[in-house]
Amino acid sequence: MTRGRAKRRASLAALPITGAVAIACWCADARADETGAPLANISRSSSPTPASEPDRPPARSLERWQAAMGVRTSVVRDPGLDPFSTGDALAQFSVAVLHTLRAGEGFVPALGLAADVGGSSASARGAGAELSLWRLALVFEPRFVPTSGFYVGARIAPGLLHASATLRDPSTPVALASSYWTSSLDASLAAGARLNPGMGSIGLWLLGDAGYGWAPRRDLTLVPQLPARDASKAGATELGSLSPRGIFGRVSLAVSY
Amino acid sequence: MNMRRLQVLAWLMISAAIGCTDGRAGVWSQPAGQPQAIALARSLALIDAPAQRVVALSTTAGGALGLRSTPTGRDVVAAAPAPDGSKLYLLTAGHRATLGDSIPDERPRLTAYDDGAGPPIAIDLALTDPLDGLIVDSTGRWAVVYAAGTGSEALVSNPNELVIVDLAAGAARHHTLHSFGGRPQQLTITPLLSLPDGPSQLLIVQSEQEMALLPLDGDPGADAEITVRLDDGGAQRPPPAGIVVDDGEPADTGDARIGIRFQGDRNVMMLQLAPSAGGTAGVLPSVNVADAGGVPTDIAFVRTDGGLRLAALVPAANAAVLIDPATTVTTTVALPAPYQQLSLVTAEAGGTSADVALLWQGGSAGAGVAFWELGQAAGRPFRSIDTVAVGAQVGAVLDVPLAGAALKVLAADSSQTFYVLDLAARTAAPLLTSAPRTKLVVSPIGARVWTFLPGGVALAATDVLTKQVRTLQSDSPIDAVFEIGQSDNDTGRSLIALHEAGNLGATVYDVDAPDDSTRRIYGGLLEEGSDDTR
Repeated sequence: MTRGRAKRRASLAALPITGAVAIACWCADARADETGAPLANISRSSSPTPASEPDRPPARSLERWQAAMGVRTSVVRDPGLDPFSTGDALAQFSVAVLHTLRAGEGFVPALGLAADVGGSSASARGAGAELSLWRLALVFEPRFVPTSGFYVGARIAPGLLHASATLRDPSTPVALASSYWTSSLDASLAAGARLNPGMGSIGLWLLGDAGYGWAPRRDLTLVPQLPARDASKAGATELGSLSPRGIFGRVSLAVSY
Repeated sequence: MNMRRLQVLAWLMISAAIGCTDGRAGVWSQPAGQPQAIALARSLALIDAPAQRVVALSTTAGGALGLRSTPTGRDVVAAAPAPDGSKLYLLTAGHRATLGDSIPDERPRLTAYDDGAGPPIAIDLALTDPLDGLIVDSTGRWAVVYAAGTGSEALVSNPNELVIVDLAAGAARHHTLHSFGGRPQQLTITPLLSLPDGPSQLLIVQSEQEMALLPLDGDPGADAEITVRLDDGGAQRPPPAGIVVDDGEPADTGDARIGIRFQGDRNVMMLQLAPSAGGTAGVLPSVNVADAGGVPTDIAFVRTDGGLRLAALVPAANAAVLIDPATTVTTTVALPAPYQQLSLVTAEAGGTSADVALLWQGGSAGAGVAFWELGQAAGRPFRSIDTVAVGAQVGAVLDVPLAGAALKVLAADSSQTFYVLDLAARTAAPLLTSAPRTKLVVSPIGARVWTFLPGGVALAATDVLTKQVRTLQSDSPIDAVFEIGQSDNDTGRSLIALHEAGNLGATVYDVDAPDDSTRRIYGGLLEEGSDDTR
């Protein structure tokens, strides 16, 4: 490994931390803007004292459902991605629905479902190459809510990954394609901040998480997409193997009620 | 949004940008182009220069196509197969690294790639600057690396420097030709000849003004080169146009001969490599020059009832000339047509003590081909000339290496017909094609002729014995066809029809049972394994 690559890898390893820190800073900043005081002061002022009780919106404690929609960017350094992308980035549209098991502050576990949909396409030696990746995952997210309107947590999301690769090469009259299902596991640090504190029972949230997504390596065996009666004439083209794993960051907007 | 938020956003974007760049192997951004395809015995080698690799396609009995990718050196400048198809030889120029260069230093080298699973074997040529010419002799023992082009980038280069490679030993030796100002134009390696210093193959190097003969076997040393001046008493002759070699009697070490014809010159030169204690390598070539009466278009040493002769075809005179190499006495034989090419078919055509030559390219459709029997008959210097009219001008004669069959394939120049010529029965069976300029490929084992129109989707297999034709359909335009042995079946063979569009596709047919229903279609072949050699 060259020194340059090692350096870059070190930078990449810092990406999830960067994301988490950035989101935390953002949220702290938001709270500071809102109250005109630093975060530490907010924490102190939000301690359960009789004087502060009347300031808390009573409906917020019932906001146990959260629906999120955002963008996930993964950095996949596996050579198997090379035919489909000119870089190492893989962008996906991301949705999630989570339900917290209890309301309030402190330790709050949340469960839900999440899906990522997206892919990449590029010219591979002059031929059009497309990769589509779908992920459907169960989400378990233990959260720590230091104060209403903000939380940090750790997210574990085991799931199923569907990969579909297509190569459109003029050397064959039909496209070459392959698809498969496999398992996947995401682990990330997450944070969320409410963008409309104290404004009714529906909350608008900015969420972010960053971590590592793992999926097993699978061979990409592409075959011409011939009708069933001609399937026996299709010969396989091995496009190496793909391991869609790597660090990722995700930014979402969510509503809670 | 205050400055702190902006800083956070910028930090995120920079981090993402670092992660999204420079992760792709460069080969994916380079189209494959049209790689050189060379058929070996059991694989088809594709030289994928942008990816610096050789891709070997092999087939199995079920029509499966296997792909093996092997890295090559930098900058492939020449490639040649071993005559038996067991190896592919690649000459690479290498790379001269400068300070800080990310590409390591690599010297010019010759690499032998095995037709099977054997690892490549590199032969160091001990060169600092690359040479770009490569020939491999018909026995597969020798290769010669030389300066074929004139565009050397070296500060100083020696165009007469040869690197002679003993392929069996994997060793290279350098030799600089004795030059009178010329540079090599064409190199030929002869079969094994009986020479005074022992049997050896000869390297014949034609230059503008001289011809060099260099024994290859044994350890002849740098002084073993025999140089023959080609000028005519001081006047320079045209460059050689063709060379033929004859070993003479196997037991006689002093009767090997070389015949030379020159471009646009009516004279032919004959050299006898006679023994001489005072000569180089024990040889003192005796030179004879004879006037053929016109510019010969082809020559060959032939055996007649009167002994060895150099036969020269002189189409301008509608004649052939038989030249006695010892006395230069010429005998003119009138021909029924101005034939320009000849090849010896003695064994196949039932010849005995005297040779039988097949004459072709007669200049007109009616000329067909002629069998010239060189035995003497009463009052004539030949026994007979029999013409087989084929109704089209024969442009090429293709060998049919089928054991036990005496056949040739006659390719017509612009006609929609080709012929299977039976040399024993002296008949020519016509086979019609639907379009002119079809391409004919004779199977390496000689059992069939593959016919296709480049860029078309139709393909035909013609059994040369039964003349039975099977037409096949491809789903993509065919640019070339190659018949190879199957990797898992000693007797099975497959046909690979190559489609050069994009990253190369192929359709594989079973040669023994060619049928559309059993074809296998492959695409994007040069996508496969592109990254392996990074």
